[in-house]
Amino acid sequence: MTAQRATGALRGTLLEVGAVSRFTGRFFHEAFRSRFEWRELFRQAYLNGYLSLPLVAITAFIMGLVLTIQSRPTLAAFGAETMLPAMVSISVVREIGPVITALICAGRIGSSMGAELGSMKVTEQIDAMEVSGTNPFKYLVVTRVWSTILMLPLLVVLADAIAIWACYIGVNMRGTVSWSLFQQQVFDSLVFTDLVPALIKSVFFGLAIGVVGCYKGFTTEKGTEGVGRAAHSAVVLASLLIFILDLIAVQVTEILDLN
Amino acid sequence: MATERVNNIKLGAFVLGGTIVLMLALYLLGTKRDLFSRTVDIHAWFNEVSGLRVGNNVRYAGIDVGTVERITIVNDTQVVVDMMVRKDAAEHIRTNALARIASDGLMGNQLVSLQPGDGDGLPVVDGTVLRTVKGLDMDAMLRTLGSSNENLVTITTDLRELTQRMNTVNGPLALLSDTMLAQDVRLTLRGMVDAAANAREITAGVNMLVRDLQAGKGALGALVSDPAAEQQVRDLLSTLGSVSDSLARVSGDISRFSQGLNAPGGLGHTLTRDTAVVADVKRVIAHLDTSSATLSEDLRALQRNWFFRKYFKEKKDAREQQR
Repeated sequence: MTAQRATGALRGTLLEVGAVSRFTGRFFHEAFRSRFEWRELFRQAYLNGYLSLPLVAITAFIMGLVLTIQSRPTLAAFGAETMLPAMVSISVVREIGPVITALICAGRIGSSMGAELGSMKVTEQIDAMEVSGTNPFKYLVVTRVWSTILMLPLLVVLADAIAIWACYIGVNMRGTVSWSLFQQQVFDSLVFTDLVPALIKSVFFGLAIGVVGCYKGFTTEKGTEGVGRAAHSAVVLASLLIFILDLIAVQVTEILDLN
Repeated sequence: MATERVNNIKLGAFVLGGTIVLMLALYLLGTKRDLFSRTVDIHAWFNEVSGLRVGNNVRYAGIDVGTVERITIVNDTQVVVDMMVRKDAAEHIRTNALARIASDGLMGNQLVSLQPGDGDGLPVVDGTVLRTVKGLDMDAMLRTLGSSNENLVTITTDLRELTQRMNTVNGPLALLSDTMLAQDVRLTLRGMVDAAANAREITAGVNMLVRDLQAGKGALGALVSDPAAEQQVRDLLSTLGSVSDSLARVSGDISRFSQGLNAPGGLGHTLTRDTAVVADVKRVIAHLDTSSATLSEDLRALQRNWFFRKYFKEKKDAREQQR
């Protein structure tokens, strides 16, 4: 019975992975074909990018400040307090900024996409669009996924900047470091191979959030109950994918000797 | 429609802000790696580079002037390091400069440190190969530290034995636990404190005395500061000089007089050395003694004489009244 259940779960997982892969393939197929829905893209970019900024900014600020305050005693034990800006900025730019921003977006955008598209699906609005001659995938999915792909790197850059600024405040809470010196310390420690892989990684995070959110919404079944499940599972799966992609990104940068 | 326009403006501002931050970050990172400044490529050959990596700083006179561009192994004993140095800094670096691998603090990154060589040289240009010197060798430092540790162990062992010997019953440290000694020391210290207080009082008194003296107070002060007194002292001293001269003369006279007395034929000599004279003197004294006894007897007889009895009686009464 247990073996049967395990086999069933495995089959379900493989089916899900296959379906998501097909969905992603369809996105890439449609993403670069003409008649682009620019207006909808801008609307989605506004909703998914601009409106996510306050949440991301607050989180980044707190993250930078907390990281600075908590790292200080450890560095002070080694007499290396002056390395605090370098340590926090490298941590934020390489790892914490992209991952935290992606997780916040997975929660906010993934659930919203799953719920919105799921509602449209169960109320047969998507079917209606097909009947009216509009390509629902191009209009609903491609624009949303592009918006997350484009907006996430921008959100990550702004989150990094805000976290580093919070680090500056944190450093000055128990000492005095001029902005000029702080900026020198930060950019002395950072290199292109810290920033560029993080931005590339955030593009993939955006893709994962958009694809999973749209897939879950687009494949919603069983009425309003399914809408809730779609929103919930979109967040869970997107978060899981973010961590898996992060692991892959670390391995790739390690292999390419970019660390 | 208006809302959509406003939203698009907000979106535009957001995208622009993010892009500007990204561009600024890329520009600052590029500036640090000298991507946007004119540079000069120079090289140095090392035997080993102690973990130097591409992108590490090149430092001249303590200032970061460039970065390591490439590190290539040439053969089994040599590594060539290609460096990118800013053009403005390269004008000050001479071809005879020395390159060595250094560290940016104990926990810092490795770097290439350039230092001026002896004598004059031309500024470096593209392709200049600098001479190298061996940098700090951490292994050698650790070996030295190891031998220092061994010495330290020996020293601490000796020190332990010494302290043990000092801490025995008859050792010098036993004195520290001697309560009598502590009491004596305390008493001595107290005595020293009293002595110091006395010394302070004496010093104060001397100070006051000196002040008074300087102010001309008191007899001594007047003597020291009064010109009239000074003159008097001079006069006194002068008088003392005259007296001394007179005394000298008198003592000379006395000396001569005594010599005269003691000279043969002198009074002193005759009285003390002439036996005949001495015998005469003794005889005279014997006669005087006899005469005075006779005279005493005669006087007692006279007192009993009726003619003088009244006189002696009145004399006796007067003496009794006086008592």
